[in-house]
Amino acid sequence: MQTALAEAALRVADPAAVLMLFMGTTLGVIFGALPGLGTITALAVVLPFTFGMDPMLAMFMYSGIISSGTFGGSVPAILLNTPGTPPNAATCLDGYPMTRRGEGARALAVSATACFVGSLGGAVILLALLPVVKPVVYAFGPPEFFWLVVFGLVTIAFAAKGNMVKGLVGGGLGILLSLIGYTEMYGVYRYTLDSEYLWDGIPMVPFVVGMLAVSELISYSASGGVTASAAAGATGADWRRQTLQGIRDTFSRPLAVGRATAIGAGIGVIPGVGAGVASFLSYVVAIQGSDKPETFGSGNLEGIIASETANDAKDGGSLLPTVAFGIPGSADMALLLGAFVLHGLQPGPLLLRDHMDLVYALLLGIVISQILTSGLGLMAVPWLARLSTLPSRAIAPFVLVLVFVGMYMLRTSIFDVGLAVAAGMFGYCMRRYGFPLITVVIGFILGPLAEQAFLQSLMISDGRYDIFYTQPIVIVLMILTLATVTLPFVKSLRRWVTEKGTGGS
Amino acid sequence: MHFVKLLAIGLVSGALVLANAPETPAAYPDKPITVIVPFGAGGAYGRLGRKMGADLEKKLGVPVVVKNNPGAGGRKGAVVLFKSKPDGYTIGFVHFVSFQSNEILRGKKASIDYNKFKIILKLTDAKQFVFVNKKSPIKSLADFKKAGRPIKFATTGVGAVTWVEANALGATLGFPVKFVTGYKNLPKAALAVARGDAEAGAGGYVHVRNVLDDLRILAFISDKKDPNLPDIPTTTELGYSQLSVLGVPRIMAAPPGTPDDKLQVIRKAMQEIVDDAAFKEWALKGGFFLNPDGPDATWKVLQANAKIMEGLKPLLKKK
Repeated sequence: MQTALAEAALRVADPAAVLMLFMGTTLGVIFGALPGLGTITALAVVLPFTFGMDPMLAMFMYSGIISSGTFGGSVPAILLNTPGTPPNAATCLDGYPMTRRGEGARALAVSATACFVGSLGGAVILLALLPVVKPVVYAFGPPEFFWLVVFGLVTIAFAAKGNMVKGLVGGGLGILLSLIGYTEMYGVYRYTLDSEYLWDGIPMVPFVVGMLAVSELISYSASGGVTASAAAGATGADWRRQTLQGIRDTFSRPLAVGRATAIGAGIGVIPGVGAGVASFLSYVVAIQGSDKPETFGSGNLEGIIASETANDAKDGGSLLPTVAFGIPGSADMALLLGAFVLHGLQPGPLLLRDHMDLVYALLLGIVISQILTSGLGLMAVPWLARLSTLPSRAIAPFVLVLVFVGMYMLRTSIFDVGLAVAAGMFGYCMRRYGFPLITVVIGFILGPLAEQAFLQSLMISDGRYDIFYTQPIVIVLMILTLATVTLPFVKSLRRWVTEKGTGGS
Repeated sequence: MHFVKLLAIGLVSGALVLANAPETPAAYPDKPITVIVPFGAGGAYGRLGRKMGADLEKKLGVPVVVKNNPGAGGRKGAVVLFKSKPDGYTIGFVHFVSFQSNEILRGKKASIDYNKFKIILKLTDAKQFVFVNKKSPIKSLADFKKAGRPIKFATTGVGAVTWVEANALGATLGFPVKFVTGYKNLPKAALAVARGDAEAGAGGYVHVRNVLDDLRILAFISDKKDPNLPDIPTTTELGYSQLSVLGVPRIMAAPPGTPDDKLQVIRKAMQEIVDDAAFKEWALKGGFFLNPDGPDATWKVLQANAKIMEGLKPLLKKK
C-alpha cells in the first residue's frame, strides 16, 4: 500500500506528469466553463491522444480534467446564470442572486474554496470506503435509487418558492419533455413524430443550456444595463476583499461543507445516480439544516457551498465503484473506464491488487489539479467578477457565440444548435410569465431517473408496491423525503398557532 | 515582399505538380482512409476501431482517420457510412443487429437498405454467458424448465441482444421468461443479478468479471469456447446449436457500390492484422472474442439472427 502511494507521489514530481496535470486542468476548466461542453466532452477529445501514452501520465491528464470541470462550470453559473455543465444548475439558484447584489467575487471565491474542500473530502472518503465498497454498491438497487431521486426532485418545491403552482407546472413540463425518445425499458418510441433526431430523445445539454443560458441572454439583452449595478463603482481592492471574504465564509461553515462532502461522495459511490442528483439533493439538505431556509434562492452562500462541494466530492466517490468494480459511478467515469481498458488495465479487484499505484496517481492527480484549479481560480476571481459590471450588450453576443460553438462541437449537429435556440425562446417566454425555469431543468434531468427506478422496482417486485417501503434503507430514505416535504408546513403551522396565541393574549 | 515571392513560388510549383499528375488512377490506397465508428470513443467498438485504424495505417501506408459518429443505437453512423462516396476511402463498423431488432421487433423501417452494405470482414463476436445468482437453485440450462416458474432476467432493454437471448433460451428450453429492464449497460445488469434484482442474466466476460463471486455461470452462447472461462460449456456442446449464432458480430463494411478490388485490398490487410499474434494478445486482454469471417459466412449468421428475432415477434404483440 505505502510503496504504491510513494511510487505515485514520486511520479507526480516528474515534469511530464506536471505538464499532463496542467494540460488536463486547463482543458477541464475551459470545457467546464463553456456552456454545453463538459468533462465528458473533454475526456472524449483527449482519449485518442492518450492512446500511446504511459498509463500513469494518461491518468494524470484524466484526473486533471475530471476534477477541474466543476469549478469551471460554476463560473458562468454564478456570473451569467448559465450553468457550464448541467450539475452546476443548482449553483445558479444562489450564485446569480449574489452576483446581482454585487457580490460576484465573493460567490466565486466560495465556489472555488468549496470545490477544493469537496474534492479533498471526496478523495479521503474514497480511501476510507475502499475496503467496504462491495456492500455499499450492493445495498443500492432500484427502490433505493427511486427514493434518492425523489429526494432530489423535492428541490422543485424549494426552487418554486413564492409561486408553487407555476413551479410545479414547470417541473411537470420538464418531466414530460424528458419522456420523448426511445425507451429501452419497453422498447418503444415515445412522441418522436418519426423524426430520427428525436430517437435519442431531446438531448440534455442543448436543452438545458438553451433553457437557462440562451433565455437568460435574451432577457439580458432586452433589459440592457449591467448585471450588478450595485457594484458599478467597485475597485480592484473591493473585489479582492470580497474574494478573501468568500474563502473565510466557506471555512467558517465546517458543518455545511462536511455535510455536502458526505452527500456528494455517497451519491458518487452509488453507480448510476449521477452528479445532478448529488448537487440538488445536497441543496435540499442544506435548506433543511438551515435556520434561515427562506433566504435560499435569493443569494445564500450556503446554497453554493452545498451544490459545489457535493459536485466535486462526487468525483472521489464515483471513482470508487469504477476502479474497484469496473462499474462506472457516473457518465464521465464510464469514459474513464474505457480509457483504463484502452491502456490494457482491467478495473476491478485485480486492479486494486496489481495497479494500486495508478489508483493513487488518479487520486493524487485529482487533489493536485483541484489545488491548481482553486488556487489559480481564486487569483482570477477579482478579474472574473468584473464581468458582472460590463454592459449586457457587450457580453451577450460574445457568450451566445460561445454557446453556439459549444452546442455544435458536442455532436457536430446543427440541429442541436437549433434546439438550443428554440429552447431559449421557449424559456424566455416562460420567464416572462413568471415560471421558474430551474424547475423545468430539474424535472428534465431527474424525471427519467425516477421513472426508470420506479418501473424497475415494480418489475422486481412483480408489481407489488410494498417494495417501496419494506427495506431498511428504503424506509430511511422515504422518511427523510417525506419529512423534507412536510417540515415547512409544520413549521409555518406552528408559527401561525403561536402568532394566534400571542395575538389573543 | 519576401512573403509574396514565396507565395508565388508556391503557387507556380503547385500548378506544375498538378499539371504533371498522372491521368491513370494511382494504386489504391493513395490518400487517407476514414473509419466511421458509430459509437463513442471509450466503448468496445471505439477501442476496436482505433486499434484497427492504427494497425491499418502501418499496413497500408496511408493515414487512417477514425471518426466517432454515435447516435440512435449505432444506426446514425451507419446511415452516414451508407451515404458516403463508395470509393474505398470511407469504411466503418455497421451494427447490423441494431437495424434488425429495430425493424423486426420494433417495426421501425430504417431509412437505408442495410442489406446493401458491402461487408469487408467480421472481426469479433460479442458473445454472452448465461448466468444466475449464486443463491438460485438453478444449476444448469435444463434446470430452467424444471423450476416450473417464470425466470426473471436482468437486461438493458426490450429488443436488446441479451433480451433476444433470454427469450430465445426460454422458447428453446421451454420456460417462461420475465424481465427487469432498463439497466444502463451489461456490467450493471450483471451487478443487478449479483445483487438479486433478477435471478438470471446474460453478458460477456468483461461484464461479469467483477461480480463472478456472486454468480453461477451456466453456459456460453456460442459454438466456440471463451478462452477466459474455458470450463463453461457452449450451447453447441449442450445440444442447442440453434442458439449459438446469437450475439453481436462486429462487422467492418463499406458503402454499397464500393469496387470489389478495393474491398479485397482492405480485407486482406485486416485479415493479416487479426492473424497477427500481437493483435490477438491485445484482443484477449481487452475482452474481445476474435472470430474473423468473410462476407458470405457473416451474411448467413445475420440471416439466422433475423430469423430468431422473427420468431420472437409474437412475444411483443402479446402485451
